[in-house]
Amino acid sequence: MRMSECEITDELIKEKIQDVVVFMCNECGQGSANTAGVARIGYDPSIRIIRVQCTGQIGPIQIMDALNNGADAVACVGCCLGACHFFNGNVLSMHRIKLMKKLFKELGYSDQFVNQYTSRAAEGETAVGDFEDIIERLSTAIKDEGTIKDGC
Amino acid sequence: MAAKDNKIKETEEVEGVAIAEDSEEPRIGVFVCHCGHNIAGTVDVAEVAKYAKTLPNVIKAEHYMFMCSKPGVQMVKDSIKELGVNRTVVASCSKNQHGKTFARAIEEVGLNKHRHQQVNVREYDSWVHQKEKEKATQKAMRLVEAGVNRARKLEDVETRRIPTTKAALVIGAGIAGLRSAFDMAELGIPVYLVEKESTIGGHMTRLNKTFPTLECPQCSISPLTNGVANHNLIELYTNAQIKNIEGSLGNFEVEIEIKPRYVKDNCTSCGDCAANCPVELPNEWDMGMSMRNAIYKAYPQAIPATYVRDKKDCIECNTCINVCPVQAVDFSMQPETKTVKVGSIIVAVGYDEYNPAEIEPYHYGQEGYEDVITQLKLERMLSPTSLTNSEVLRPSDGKIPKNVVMIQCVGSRNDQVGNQYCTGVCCKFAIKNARIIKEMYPDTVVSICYIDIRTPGLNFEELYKSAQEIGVRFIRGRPSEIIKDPISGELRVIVEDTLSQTPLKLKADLVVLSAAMVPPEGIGPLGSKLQILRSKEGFLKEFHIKMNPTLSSKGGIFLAGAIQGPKDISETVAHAGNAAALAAAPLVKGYIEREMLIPSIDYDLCVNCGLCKTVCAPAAIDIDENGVPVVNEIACKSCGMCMPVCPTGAIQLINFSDDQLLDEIIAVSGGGAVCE
Repeated sequence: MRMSECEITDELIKEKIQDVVVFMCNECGQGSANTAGVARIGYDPSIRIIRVQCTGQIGPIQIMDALNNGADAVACVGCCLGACHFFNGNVLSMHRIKLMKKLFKELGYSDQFVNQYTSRAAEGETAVGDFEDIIERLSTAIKDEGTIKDGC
Repeated sequence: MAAKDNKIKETEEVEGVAIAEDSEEPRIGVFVCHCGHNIAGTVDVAEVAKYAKTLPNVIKAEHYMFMCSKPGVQMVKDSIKELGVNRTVVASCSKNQHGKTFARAIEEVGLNKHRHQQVNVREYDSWVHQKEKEKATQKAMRLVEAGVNRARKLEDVETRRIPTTKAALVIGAGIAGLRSAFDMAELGIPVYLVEKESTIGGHMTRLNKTFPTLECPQCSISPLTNGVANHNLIELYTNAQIKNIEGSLGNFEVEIEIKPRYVKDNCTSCGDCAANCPVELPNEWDMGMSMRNAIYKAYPQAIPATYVRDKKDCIECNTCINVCPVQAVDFSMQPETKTVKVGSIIVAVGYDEYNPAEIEPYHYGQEGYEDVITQLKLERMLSPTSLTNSEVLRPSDGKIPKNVVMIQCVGSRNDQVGNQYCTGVCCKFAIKNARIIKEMYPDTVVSICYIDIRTPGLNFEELYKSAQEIGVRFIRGRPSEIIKDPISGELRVIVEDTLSQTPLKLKADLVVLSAAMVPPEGIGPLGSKLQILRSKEGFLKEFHIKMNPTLSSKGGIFLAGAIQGPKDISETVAHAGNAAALAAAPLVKGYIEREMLIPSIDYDLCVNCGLCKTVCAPAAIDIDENGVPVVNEIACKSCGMCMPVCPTGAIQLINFSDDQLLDEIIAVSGGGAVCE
């Protein structure tokens, strides 16, 4: 819809994905990213991790700040459901992201620019799986509706 | 200990200096680590250091082979001493690995440890982007820039030492409560043990035998009950309940309401009062398997041995007052409220047996279905002190049953009653009881209707096998209904054997329901007094299922035993011991060290909506008498969940404020605003 007429190739999309801001919680989130690092499981270099106390700490302000400053997508990665180290921060964040998705839809953007994930500190694959999913969803969103920058 | 005290004092002094420096301009030192080839092999560290030098406020940017080595740490220290660096950024490995090393180093030369910012360019960058060297270098630059941005506004966080009250409260005197009370008392901590019932010992004292070794539970628990009752550091309150709890970690104030026993402590337990009492009632402790009087002792070995008067059913004939040889009976006793100060609280209120009356097809408790009983009742029937003389007799006609059917998973693993969990002990006790019945009456057919037999752990599979060998029938299937044969009046259990796919109609003289363990009655009000969270099943929720299964959602309050989830006795004892150790630690030490990484509230912006209180899981935010939210510094767990809910941004977590996060976000999200 919002893309120019020229054909969108996968390379073009890959070029367009430069910065994906991922808020990871102090516990399982960054723990799993560390484990992924130790296990040398590669992922897209556009993933930029910001370490926060809990995903429940991330609100619309941070998400909008990131997008406003040029991020292509934002994601929150917390502990598994029921395993939040602060009780329910991941659930709170999940509800918040759901609302954000609705807001994005209403504004006319794809709802794939914000996502919430969980991971396990002991398993690096979970974090990398999350990262791959972020990129995949973002690629599809860009293909269908253009980047958030184009729509601005 | 003395050395540690000195160290803390030093830091406190140093902090005073650091705060004075706060108005100074930030002077940031950036150190990029090679980590051998781990980082330098992928990331152009020299380029990153060069880029860092160009960032505002950075006065020193270096790269070195191993930052965590002694010369590397010395580099950081020297930069503080020689160049007046007041915030450090080290781009190396994760915060977990060496964040502490550098934080400690800067603390040693007089900076607050929270002025160090660790940037992870190894796990988050070089190790995962080994094939894309150029991009990895760019990413490292971004991450370092984010770290520098973040470091610029880092504030001092003070470490405060909070003295604790050297006393503990244990709620519930079952096996879990007794174990933790005794363990803490042995560590020299005065313990207040509060029990709702008139005796201590809980469910364990009611059992006939414990699995898997078929030991006598009375004998196992009596050293503990006697030990607790006679310990000079344990103050036992029976017939007592918690009225109110205030305070937080280290310093609680608890009001205990003690109901009168109407019998004074000089009771010699001779039993004359009960023998002459004209009132007879079914004994609740014995699951109605024996009778008691209005003045009674729950069971002969009960501790405390003092008799107790049931005021509700007493007809006040005063016979007991007249017959008592030591004038111990006193009807004028009044309820009293005691206020105690404690440092830690252990909640060990145990469980209740699920009431199967809710499951309509099993007709439990209905007229004509007296022969449908629960496992706990069977335990009382089998116990050595029972009314039936340890015989299994049908409640309806007192005959020995020829067919006993046990039904598993009554109230657990059942979506209809809302309990998805497996209680985990029903298979074990059902097998144990089936074996005991079969051994007592070899002619009796004992069948167990199960969904899955779950007997994990040492010696349990052996127990299962031994029951199979002795001839206990195992039928895989959940019975749909217990019916009464209209002609003979006998009970029939309708079940489908799902292994052979045959519908069965089992003849049953006695049906035993293996009822689930459920949260005890009255846990809701207690939970809200304690301000701790409950899981969806109703049990009290632990802090972390793996790493801290005994801490509750609130610091200083610990869980022991089945209140955290269904457990058998061995698990309960282990759990309670852990709770005691954790609860005792701050009390033995005498103080708690807390980093004041807490939110601050800007009262000019605050609109007193109270939303921050609603999301605060450890209940660290209170609304004071003026309707203004106040942060409890000790209870706070520094999660920052209160930040995004605040409609005005008045509440901000120190070093994680919106402003500080924005700086970091700008650096990593492409830089420069798109929408001008």
